[in-house]
Order: sequence, then structure tokens, then C-alpha cells
Amino acid sequence: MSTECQDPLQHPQVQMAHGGQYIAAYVFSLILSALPLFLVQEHGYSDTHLLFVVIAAAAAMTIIQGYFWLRLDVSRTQAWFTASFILFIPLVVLTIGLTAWMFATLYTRTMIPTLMHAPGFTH
Amino acid sequence: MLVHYPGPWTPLLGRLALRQIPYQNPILVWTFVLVVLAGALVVGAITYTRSWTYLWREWLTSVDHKKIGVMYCLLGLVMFFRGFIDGVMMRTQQVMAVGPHSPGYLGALHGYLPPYHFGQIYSAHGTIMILFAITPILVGLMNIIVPLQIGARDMAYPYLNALSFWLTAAATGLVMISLFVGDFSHAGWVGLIPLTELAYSPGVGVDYWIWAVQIGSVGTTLASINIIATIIKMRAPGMSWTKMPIFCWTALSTSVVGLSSFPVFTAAVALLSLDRYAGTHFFTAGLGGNLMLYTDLFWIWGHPEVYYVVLPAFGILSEIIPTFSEKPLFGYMTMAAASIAIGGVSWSVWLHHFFTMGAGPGVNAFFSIASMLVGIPTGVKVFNWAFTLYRGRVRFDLPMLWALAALVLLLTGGLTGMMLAMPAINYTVHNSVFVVAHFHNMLNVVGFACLGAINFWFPKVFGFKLDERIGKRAFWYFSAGTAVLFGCMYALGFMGMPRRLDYIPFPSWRPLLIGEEIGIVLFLISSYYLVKQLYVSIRNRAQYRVSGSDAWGTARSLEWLAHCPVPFYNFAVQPHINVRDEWAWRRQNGLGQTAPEHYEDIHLPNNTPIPLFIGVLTFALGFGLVWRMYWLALASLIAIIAAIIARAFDDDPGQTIPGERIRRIEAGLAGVLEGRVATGDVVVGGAVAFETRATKAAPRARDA
Amino acid sequence: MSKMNDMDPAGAVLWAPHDAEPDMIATRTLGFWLYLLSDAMIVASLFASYLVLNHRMNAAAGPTAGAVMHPLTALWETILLLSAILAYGLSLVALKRKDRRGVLAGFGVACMLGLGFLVMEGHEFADLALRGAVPERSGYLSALYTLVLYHAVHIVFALLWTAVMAVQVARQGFTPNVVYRLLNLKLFWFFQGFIWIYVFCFVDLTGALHVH
Repeated sequence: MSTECQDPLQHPQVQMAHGGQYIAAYVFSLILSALPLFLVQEHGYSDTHLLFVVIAAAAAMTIIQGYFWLRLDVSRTQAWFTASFILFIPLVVLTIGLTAWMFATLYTRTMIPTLMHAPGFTH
Repeated sequence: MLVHYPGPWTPLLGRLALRQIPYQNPILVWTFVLVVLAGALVVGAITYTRSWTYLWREWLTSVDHKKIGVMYCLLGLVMFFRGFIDGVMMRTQQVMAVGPHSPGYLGALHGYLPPYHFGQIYSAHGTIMILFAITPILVGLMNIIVPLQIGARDMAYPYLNALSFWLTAAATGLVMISLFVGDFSHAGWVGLIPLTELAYSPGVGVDYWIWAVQIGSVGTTLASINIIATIIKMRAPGMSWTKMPIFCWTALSTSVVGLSSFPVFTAAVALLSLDRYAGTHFFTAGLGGNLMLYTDLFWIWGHPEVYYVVLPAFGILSEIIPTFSEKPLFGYMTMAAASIAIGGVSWSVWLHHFFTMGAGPGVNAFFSIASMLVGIPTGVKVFNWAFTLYRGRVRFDLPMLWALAALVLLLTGGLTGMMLAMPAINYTVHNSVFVVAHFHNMLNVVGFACLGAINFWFPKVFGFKLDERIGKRAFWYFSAGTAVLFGCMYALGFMGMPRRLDYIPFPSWRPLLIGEEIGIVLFLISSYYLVKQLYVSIRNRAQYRVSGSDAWGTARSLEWLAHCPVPFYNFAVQPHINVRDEWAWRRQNGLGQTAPEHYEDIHLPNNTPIPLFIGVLTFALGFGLVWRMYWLALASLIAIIAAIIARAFDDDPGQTIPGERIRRIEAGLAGVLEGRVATGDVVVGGAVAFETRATKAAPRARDA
Repeated sequence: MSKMNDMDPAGAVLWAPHDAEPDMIATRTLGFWLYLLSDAMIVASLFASYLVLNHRMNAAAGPTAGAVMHPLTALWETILLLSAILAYGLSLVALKRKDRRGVLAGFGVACMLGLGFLVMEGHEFADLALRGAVPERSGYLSALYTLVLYHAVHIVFALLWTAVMAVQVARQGFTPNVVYRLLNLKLFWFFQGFIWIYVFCFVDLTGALHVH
């Protein structure tokens, strides 16, 4: 179906490229990478708190990159991209979360209890 | 990096050597002779009728969704037969090998199959039936029907569609060649871990399984993308979401399930292959592997996969039952919602396949409740079908018989499924043939629906019906076989018989095992009638020809607006959709014969052999990896990437069919339906070509 | 039935005046996006495996996360990768202006930075392997290598694809087919950013968390 008479560069998906937004997402992502790294290296907080900071940073970067880079919004051009993306979020969460949950209980019930408090298990 | 494994290896042939050919095994030798004879017959017939060019031009290089769908179904039916023969062999072994005094033949201690061979057969049976029989048939049906039901000319990506098919075919080829070169996995269709690890299965059998399912699952993932995008982007004007036929809803839901779950399978099998090839320790028993991780990843895919096959079957039932009840489907909106809900819930139930792993009670309770939740949308569906039948003018045509039997099976299968969803019961019957009986019961729902669908839509694609009398015989034998075989199997499950036994120690189980054997004989008789039905119908197709576009007279959805058989462009002019059951509405308001007033040019993609080439190369890649012929694998991989890049530089401009030609074809098609010989112009592709070519009296269509 | 009677058959439009030509570019990019989402499920499975195998039991007396992670190196890698992605994004801003040289320049920068990322990551892992922490050592290291190298393989393909697109842009200009591939490649690059931030946050940063 390559017989498009109109200019492909006028396509809304081409036209939505936006240098300012791209750079903004870039800068924010770098800040959000460096900040938790700094906190983790400083060890000023407990591991649990730091874990929350890391998760928050990842979530924030997801939203920032999703919005400014991938343009996941509800406009007519992008609605299906956004919808399918949102649909996949619970699937990813279920895959990882339920697996983690079942193995956490499995390890507690089947492995040497003293090992369960070893580093690397809390998450 | 590459792992050390026992046995010789040469750079050129890898692990392949003459002694890998199982020529000492009489069963395989005779199978080989049969396959060679059948292959020679087919090749001879094609050469004799000088059909190679036709085959190449009209089928092998085709990007037409109907032809790809037909090839999918054909592939699935052939593999269905192969898997069925495996089933016959297992039943026969089990009935022969009962008790310590049972005799042994062909080198087996009991029965006629040594344990390792038996293991390969049940693994092949499961893998083939799920991944290479039912899945291709359903994908094929969706391929044919979805674009017709939404009024599109083709799928969203015709080229990708052909590629998906040829990847599936390549995977199937790997399974088939494992019969005669090397052996197949003996670790079950689920790839029982750690049996699949190199330490316990040093042969190539597991590698065949790995690469076959891997390539096949890539093909299915791509097919899912295609169907989702087709439904989102290609609907005819006026077809809002709530006017879409219900089969499309189930196709959409199933494709979302397929798109999201098959990658997990890809990952699980890829990690297993890393263990076997690169010596990693994902699932090994030592050095920090966790074998339950494989089971977890496998069933994250495995459970959605069973909904992947059952949802289109539900869609098929939702098309057949209203047609032969002569009234609209009851509860359309709840039906669509239930289809989506089943797909959604399927993502949080997978642990019920391994309740006995020993996860905490909270986990087991969660997954148990989630599994039972599936019963709600499924129950909604069953009641909707029942209310559709209620006060309808029910006609027992052949597709309807298959559909109604599927409903009955769904009840028993669903209720035993509820039992298995309870951890307490599950602990008791885990790994028993009760589980086997349950999922065969459910997969028979899919099988019945598929056979119903083939009978239902056959005239749409080929322009003539399948013989009803022989078909009904096949149906009754099939149903009786199902009842007898799986009834006995349920009972054996309650008696505690474990699955995958090549030797049965208790003679008290023999009567029920004989019952199972009787069941499989009934299936054998049924399969004879199924083949006969196809053969007789094709031979006498003139007398089975349907007139008009609605083969059943009471059909409802849009595909029945297109001609029978469907021309290569589907609809001469794209229909504008006014109501939900568009065809039923037009028929009832006397608009069924209203032809469009003028014909526009139609733009279609050109045929291309590249998907076929990529399929062949993928087969070579898989074969090279199985036998560790690394040069072959690397060369094929590079060639595949090169082919993809080459294709990117060779843009298909497509072909434009002038409106005037469409008008002539439409006029000619009316002639075909009245029994006149088709003109050359009609035979430009599609099922029409199949029909006229096979008519002996007709002049060579291409010469005309 | 009631719904059917609502529709007046006399005045109904039965045939579309023209074929509803679907927007080719939007259709192709949607399909590619769906493919990327399926790829995300592979990554999710790898993360799930990593999560399960990131345990002292699975380290099999070998190095654990704390011993192999270099969050500072990972930050430099993050900067390189995100800059490569930004460069590709900016080349699409040039595409909007129909600036062929700008597009090609953006490709060049993206490829150089992407290559730098790969070299740095390769160096990091070669260093690990030289210290005996090879994937065959333990279940934990298998999961770590597989997850990170799976992302690296994507970057290799992104570079290959960008090179192919550079040739296409130079030879064919901005035809619809080239444009939709550029948009798909944009999705592909940006998606690698997504995956990387998760690798960075949940492998490198949380790995460093448990040193003490």
C-alpha cells in the first residue's frame, strides 16, 4: 500500500517530533538516574527506604520517557499505543510480582531458614 | 562458552552421524517407507498434473489471507493426524503392558514400546497436538474469517502473515524430521525439568523440541500481532466495536493473550537452551539453578496458551449456534466482555499447574480463587448459548452437531476444571490421568469446534459443502470415542493411575484400559470417515455446490455477504456496515442480492517468495542448532538477516486491479454459481482457481 | 432484534463509496509497537528470573550482586545510551524539517554513542569474566549476564538497523516506506531506554544496596 499521494512527512507521527521535549526527558532521566545513585552510594537511609527511592525513580522515568519520548497520550494518533502499553503494565507486574511472591513463600518453606535472611532476598 | 557434551562431534556435521538414523527400529522404518511412498505420490501427482508453477504462484508465494489460512489448516490437519497416531500408539502400549506377565515385543519388556520410545511418543503427541495441530488450525481459521467478518481486503500485514505461516511450517518440519534423523524429546510436552537438562538428556531429542517450539512460538506471536492490528485498523466503514461479529472479539482477545504470553515461553525455552548450549545454570539442579523457575515461566505461558486455543473455539460456537437456531446471539455485549475477561483472568492462574510445588497457603489460595473466577465468564457464555438455543428454530446441520457436542464437553471439562482449581483436590489427583482426562476433555471442546468450523466455513472458501451423511457418521463415532475413552480415563484417574506410564503394574486397571482402547478404535473409525468425507466431497463437488453467498440460508455475520467461494479480493466493493448482524439484516430486508452500482480499482499486494525462503532458512537454522552444526546455524542466521534487509530495499508497489475487471469477474462468478465453466478472468487466484482446475471437463483455465 | 428494526433499510448505505485505505504509516507503527510490547514480556520474564535467582543460595558461593555491581560505571553507560537515544530522537526532529543531512548526522552520532555504550558494557563484563565471574559460575550470574546482554543484543540490532536506514535515507529519500521504518526505529531506540532504566534501577542500584 505504498501509493500514498500525500507527503509522508506530514504524517502526525512525524510531526509530533519535538526537540525540546526530547531534551527535557533526557535531562530528567539523567537527574533521576544520578539522584538515586547518589543516595545509594551515600547509604544515608535504610535499604528499604532506598529501595522505595529506586522504584519511585524508575516509575518517574517510565512516565517521563513514556510521555515526552514515546508520546503516550490520549490523542487520536497515539491512543492505541497508550492503550496497549497500559494493558501490558499489569501483565508485566503480574509476571514479576506473582513469581516473586510464590518463590518467596517457597524459599521460606523449603530452604534453610537461616539463609532466608541473607542479603539479596528482601526484594 | 559452548558447553561440553558427551559423544563425538565433527565441524561439518556436528553431532550428526549415520548411527543417529534409527534404521534398526522397525516401526520407524515402516513409517519412513510410508512417508516416502506418500511423498512420492504427492510429488508425482503434482508433476503429472503439471501443477508446480500453479502451486508456486498461487499458494507457496501467496500473501492472500485465505490461502495462507487454508495452508495453515492443512498443516494443522496433517499434524493432527500425526498426533492422533501417536495417541493410538500410546493407548495400545498401555493396554498391552498391564501386569508383570504381559508379553513384550520389538525389544520391549512389556508391550511393544521401550520406555524411551514411549516417552518420545507422549512428548510428541502433546507438543504436536497443542502447538502444531490445534494452534495452526485456529490461526488458519482466524486468518480466513477475521478479515472477511470485518469487511477488509486482507490482513494488516500480508507479508508478515506469510512469514508467520512459513515459520510455523519450518517448526513443524523440525518435529517431523526428528522421526527419522535422531530422536525427539522424551520429557513431555511441558519439558519436564531437570530431565530436559543436558546432564539427564544428552541426546538431540530435547534440542529438537526446543527449536521446534521456539520457532513455532515466534510464528504464533507474529500472527497475533497481525490479527490485533487487522481488527483495530482494517474494519470496514460503519463497523463500530459493538457491531463487530463475536468471533472477531474472541480472535482479538486470544491474540492479545498470544501476543503477551508466547514471549514468556520464548524466554523460558531460551533460558533452557542457554543451559544446554552455553552451560549456564538457570534450571540445573546444582550451582544455584532453580528448576521450579522453569516450571513457573513455562506455565505463565502454558495457562494463557490453553485460553489461546479455547477462546477462538468459543467464538466459533458463538457463530454456529445462532446460525442454526435462526436467531441472533443472546447477550452479545456480555459475550464480548466475557471473552475479554477470560483472556484477562488467564494471567493470574498459572500456579494451579503446580500447586504441589509447595508455595505458601496464601499463594495457593490466591491462585485457586483466580482459577475458579474463570468459571464466571465461561458460565456467562454457556448460558448465553443456551438462551440463544431457547425458543430458536434449532436445526441439526453438521456444524451445529459439532457445536452442541462441544457445549456438552465444555460442561464436563469445566466442572472437572473447577475441581482441579481446589488445592485440596489437586494435591490428590496431581500427576494422575484425571488431569489428562480433564485437559483432553477441554481440548476436545476445541477440536469439536474446529471440526464444526471447518464444516461451517468450508463452502465460504471453496464454494461447496462437505458431505453431510458421511460427516455425521464421523461426528457420532468421534463423540462416542470421546465419551468412552475419556470416561474411562476419568475413572482411572480417580483410581490413582499416574500419567505417562509405559507399564501398568495393576491388572485391576485392565478393563478400563481396554475401554480406552475401544475409545481409540472409535476415533480411528471416525478419522476414516473424516478423510472419506473430504475425499467424497471434493470428488463430487459439483453436487455439493452452494448457490448464493449464504451457504446455510440463515447465517448472520458479514463473511456471508461475500461470494462462495470468496474471490481473491474478498468484496468487490467494501461494504458499509449498518447493524450488528449485517448479513442477516440485509437478508431479512431483501437487500441480500443488492449489488454495488459501480466498481472501483482495488489495490492488493504482490506475491513474494521471501517468506518461504526465510522459512527454509529458519528450518536450516533450527536443524543446525539441534545437531550443533554451528556453521550451518550461523550461515542461516546471516542469510535470514540479509533476506530481511534485502526485502526492505525491494518495496512492493502492489498491484492495482481495475474496476472494470472486477465487474467482469463479478459477472463471471454468477456464472460459476450457475454451473457454467469459469472464464479465464475469474481464475486469477483464490479458491476459484482450486475449483476450476480440479474440474476435468473444464479447459485449462490459464490457457483460456 | 430491536436493534435491527431501528435501522431503516430503505435509506441505508450498503457500500462504501471508496476503499477505506487504512493509514499505512499508523498501521505499520502500531504493529511494531505491539511487537515491542511482546518483547517487553521477554524482558519481564528475564527480570522475574533475575529476581528469583538473585539470592545467596543461587550465587552458589560465588559472587553476589554486591560484589559484581559498579553503579558508577552503570551511570556512565546510562549517559551514553540515553544520549544515543536522544541523538536519534533529534534526527527525527530534523526529519520533520525534511533535513536529510540533519537526519544522517543524528544517525551518525547515535551510532557512535551506541557503540561507545557497547564497548563500555563489553569492557565491564569482560572484566567480570576475567575475574572468574562467568555465567557458567552460578545461577545468579547466568541470570545477570542474560538480562544485561539481552539488552546489549538489542543495541547491536539498533545500530545495524540505523546503518541500514542511513543507506535508505541517502538512496531513496523520505518515501512512505522509509518514513515508517524511521518511526519504527524511533520506537525501538526509545524502548531500549525504557529497558535500560529498569536494568539500571533494579540490577545495578538495588545490587549496590545490599553491600552492607
